[in-house]
Amino acid sequence: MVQLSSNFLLVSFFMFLAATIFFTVSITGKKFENRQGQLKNKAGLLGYISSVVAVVAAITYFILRWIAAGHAPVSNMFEYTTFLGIAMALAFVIIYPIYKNNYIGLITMPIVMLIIVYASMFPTEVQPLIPALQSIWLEIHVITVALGQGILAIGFVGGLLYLLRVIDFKKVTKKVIGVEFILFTIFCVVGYILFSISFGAMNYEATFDYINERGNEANMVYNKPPLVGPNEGVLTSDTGFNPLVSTPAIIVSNDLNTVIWSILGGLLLYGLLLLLFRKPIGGAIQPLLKNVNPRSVDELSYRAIAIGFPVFTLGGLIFAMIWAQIAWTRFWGWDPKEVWALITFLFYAAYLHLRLSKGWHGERSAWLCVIGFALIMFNLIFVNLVIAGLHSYAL
Amino acid sequence: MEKVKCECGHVNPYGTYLCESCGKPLIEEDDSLVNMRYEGVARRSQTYKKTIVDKIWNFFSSVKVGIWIIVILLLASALGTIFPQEMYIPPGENPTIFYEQEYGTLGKLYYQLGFHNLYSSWWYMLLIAALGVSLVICSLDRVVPLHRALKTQRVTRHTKFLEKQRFFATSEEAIENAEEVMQKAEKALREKKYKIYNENGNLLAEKGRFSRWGPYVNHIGIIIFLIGAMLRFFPEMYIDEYIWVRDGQETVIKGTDGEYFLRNDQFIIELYDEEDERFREALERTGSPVVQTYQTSATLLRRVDNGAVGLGTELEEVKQHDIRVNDPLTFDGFSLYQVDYKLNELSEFTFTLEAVQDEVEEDLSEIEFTVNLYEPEMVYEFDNGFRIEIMQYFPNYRMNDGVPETINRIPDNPRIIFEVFTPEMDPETDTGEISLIGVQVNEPLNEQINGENQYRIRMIGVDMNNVTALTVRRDRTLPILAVGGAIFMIGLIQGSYWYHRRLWIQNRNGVLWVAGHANKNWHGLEKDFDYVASKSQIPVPVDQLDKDMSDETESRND
Amino acid sequence: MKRNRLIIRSMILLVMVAAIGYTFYNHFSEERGIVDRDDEAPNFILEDINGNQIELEQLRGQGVYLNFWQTYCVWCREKMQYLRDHYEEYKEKGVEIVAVNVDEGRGSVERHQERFNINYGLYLDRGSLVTNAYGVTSLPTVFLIDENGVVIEKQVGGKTENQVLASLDKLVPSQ
Repeated sequence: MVQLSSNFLLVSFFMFLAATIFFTVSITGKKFENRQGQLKNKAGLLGYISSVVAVVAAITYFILRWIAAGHAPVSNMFEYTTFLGIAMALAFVIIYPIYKNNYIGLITMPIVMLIIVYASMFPTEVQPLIPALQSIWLEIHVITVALGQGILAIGFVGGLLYLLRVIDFKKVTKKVIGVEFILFTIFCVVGYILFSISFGAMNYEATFDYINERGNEANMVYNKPPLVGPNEGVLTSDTGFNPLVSTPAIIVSNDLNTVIWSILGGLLLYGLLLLLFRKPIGGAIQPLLKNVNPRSVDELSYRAIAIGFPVFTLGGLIFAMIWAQIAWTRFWGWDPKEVWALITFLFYAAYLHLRLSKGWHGERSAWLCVIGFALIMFNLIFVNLVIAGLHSYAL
Repeated sequence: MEKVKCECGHVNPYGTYLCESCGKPLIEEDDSLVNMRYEGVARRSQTYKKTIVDKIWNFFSSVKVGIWIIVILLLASALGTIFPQEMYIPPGENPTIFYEQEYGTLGKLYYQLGFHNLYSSWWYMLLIAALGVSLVICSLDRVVPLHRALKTQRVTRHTKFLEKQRFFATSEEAIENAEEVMQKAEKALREKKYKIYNENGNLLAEKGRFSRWGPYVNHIGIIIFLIGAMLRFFPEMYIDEYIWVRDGQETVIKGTDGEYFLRNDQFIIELYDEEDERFREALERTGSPVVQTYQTSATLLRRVDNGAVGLGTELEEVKQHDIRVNDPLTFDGFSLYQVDYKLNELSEFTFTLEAVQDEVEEDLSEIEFTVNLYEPEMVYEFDNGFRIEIMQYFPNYRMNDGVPETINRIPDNPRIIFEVFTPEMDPETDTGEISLIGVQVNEPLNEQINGENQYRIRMIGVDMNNVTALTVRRDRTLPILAVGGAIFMIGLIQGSYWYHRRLWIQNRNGVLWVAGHANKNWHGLEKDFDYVASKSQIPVPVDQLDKDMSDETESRND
Repeated sequence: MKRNRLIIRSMILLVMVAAIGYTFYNHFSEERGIVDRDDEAPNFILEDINGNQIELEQLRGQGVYLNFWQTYCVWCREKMQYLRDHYEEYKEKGVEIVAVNVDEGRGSVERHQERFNINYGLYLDRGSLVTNAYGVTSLPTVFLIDENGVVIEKQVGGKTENQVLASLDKLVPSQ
């Protein structure tokens, strides 16, 4: 059953890929509009159909895995992150018919794929639920949060599209650097995935003896070649080599090593594209987007946030409080994850006030959408993996 | 502070942007479009600046200030997650050392600045209070005039008002069948569930006005929630206690003023079956067992009131419940939660007495006694005349400056000083053999015999108990918080998922003037216009913002 | 009109400031115990190590020095030795010392009495019933109860001999 559900996820992944291709065709194919006037619409429609099929397959994965495990597959990093990707795709599938904007599909689909592949870098087997998670509120709380974040993510897509469309890439300004940084971050994720898959396929493993932060001897396993080594580390495996630098004991050096590889991957990809286009990547993308109506995209992103914000609040704060009262004896305890949910809430609240009362439309609003999504990702990845709290069993 | 009279005859308060009645812009702005925020009403706060009260009021009435409060609150909250708060550092760690030891100089600074208890610091609480004040004043200052403006709005609007709407069009010239077009448009709008107001052949179609109140409703919800949170600090509203109960024992439930007691019938831990097909892979990878259940089978007891506490307390059973994580026992506003446990706490030692050398003639075989480590008997007498006394009992033994003492009364490291009297001895006058006994400890203490005893007390049995820890909680603020949360959610949905839309269609001597406004979702308004135009040939308004957009070709949606 | 507005604004601000102020006061001031100054002392019945029962109400007319303690509490030990040295003297003046042991076995208390030659009643509160009813959370805690059964002071923590004497003096019934 678990195998079957994984197959559905795989099908879903390839349908997302198909949707990406169709949406690309729907936009680049426009050049031939005069000769094949219908092509554009058809490709857009095909893209939408592919994304619907992908979402249906993904939901089938979700239900099958739920049945197999006996609990909703939202209980660890792989499961939650995957579901976040699905939720984002679902939000797209719902919003697309309203605005019929193929550009949104063009950006959403690859991001969904990236999120799902990123999720599969975590252990994917079905895990038993610890007592604290055994509650119907796991399903209610987590699914609502993911849906909310998925919808908010569409707001991010709208904002990114807006920025790519309106910013002047001819001169290198702060704004250009900002957009390039967003793209670079995405490349880093790609880099992380590529390196993880390739070294994983090689079963790469280098081990070290080292002195940990408490002054005790310990050992550490690297799954990627050690560019930075642990504190007073001594290589004990055949594979691997002596690293260039050693880190202080307080830093978890194999994680830092992974981060460095990801950044290197990002730099490599970014550099290659830079060489290829000989201008900022955003500037290279911009011509594709010349038919995007900025006002329409701006409204779409605002709409997505106006819809997603209540859903996120319901799931991330209200349901969270109800469950916390039942499981942890208090509805609020300033656990890092709780605080970051509150921060996300406050951030979007500020966004709505700025937009409604201070007239922050267009570009400023778009930047805020991007930052909002960064906060969601920060809460998912950084708070879960680095700042340990009560939620840390989510790994 | 003078009132402004509009050419339509309506008298507007000072500071009004758009005449409340006909909508004519009273204050000329350079913007090509009118600012429809709050319907262009005068916000009182910005017009009276006399006394100190007014100044404070105006400060909190500003949305800009409100946003700053939100942003500062956001940053402050983030600051508190850099290092763990004091309540999340490992138990038993001393915060004065912990932060520096774990996080170096930054950690020390963090501690010195009080960030280890950031969320209960005076300035953080003050920020939340400021947010509450800002919510109250901002809402009050806006909702009243807005309500009035929407109530007194007229159907016939000034041409300037219409022209400067984002969606606007005219037929330019008089058309013949203007009235017929108007009627068709009205019918189409009714189909779209608009409320129609007519005046002198002009038309106002409106729907979703109630969504304008959404923000104020949700602000009321937050204010109620904050009031609830405030009540937390008032006496009697909130109880947070902690009890340990041993298997088979009863204890008074703290916080209930001695009224309720809990008996722990049994505490158990269940692990996931490693053979379980579903989880085998995951269990193999982690390599350690995973707990499936923590459960205390508990019986709730209540004291029968007889006027005094202490001796002679009678208890009656109230109910039984298996307390698990996520499944507390609730009664009388209290909840008992499974939060901790201790397995295998020592409860009883069983001893026997034996001779060190084999040359004693007494029969020691029947000497066997059990010492209860919570409440030990002090004297043990046997038929053959032997008598063993406990001289000292240390449940949790330690040496402190050469003096033995106990750290507390939990038998984590019990040591007993025994004195053994043979049948010939008189316990009142003689001194028996003395020894100190604990887990893997058996030291003779009589100095005069040079540390050599004739008899040795030997431990032959150990009994252990499980102990469960429960949190006792009563939170009387919960209903208020629930009401606040519900109202907040209703307001949020009301304001987010419905839209206020208005269409003005005016017939000025056969020339049709069409304008529209939406508080959000202009896309939906546009569709409604398209629908009306398809039924009635009204001029289709263009989005005047699109005119301002850059030079490139315009196309609405691809 | 303008005056009305000023009054309304002042009232609203005042209510909010008062509510916030009271919250802060409650949060940052010492919490009042379950039983504290000016409360009537809850009645209880306890037994000492020799099996003698005592009921608080029977002590009306005398000042009561109600001391909660445990054997391994160092501050308690010192205080109990001061009390031992002055027990007889104050007994004549109408002050009774009631030392309530918090949830320890009879044996430990007996040994303690022998070791320190305690001459006043050591009462056993097995199950912490009385301790909880009095809201005692740290030791030693002392309640000074006057001849009418009203708490005149709650003291937490170790005390010097002079402080103990001053407390005892407060309890001498005024006839």
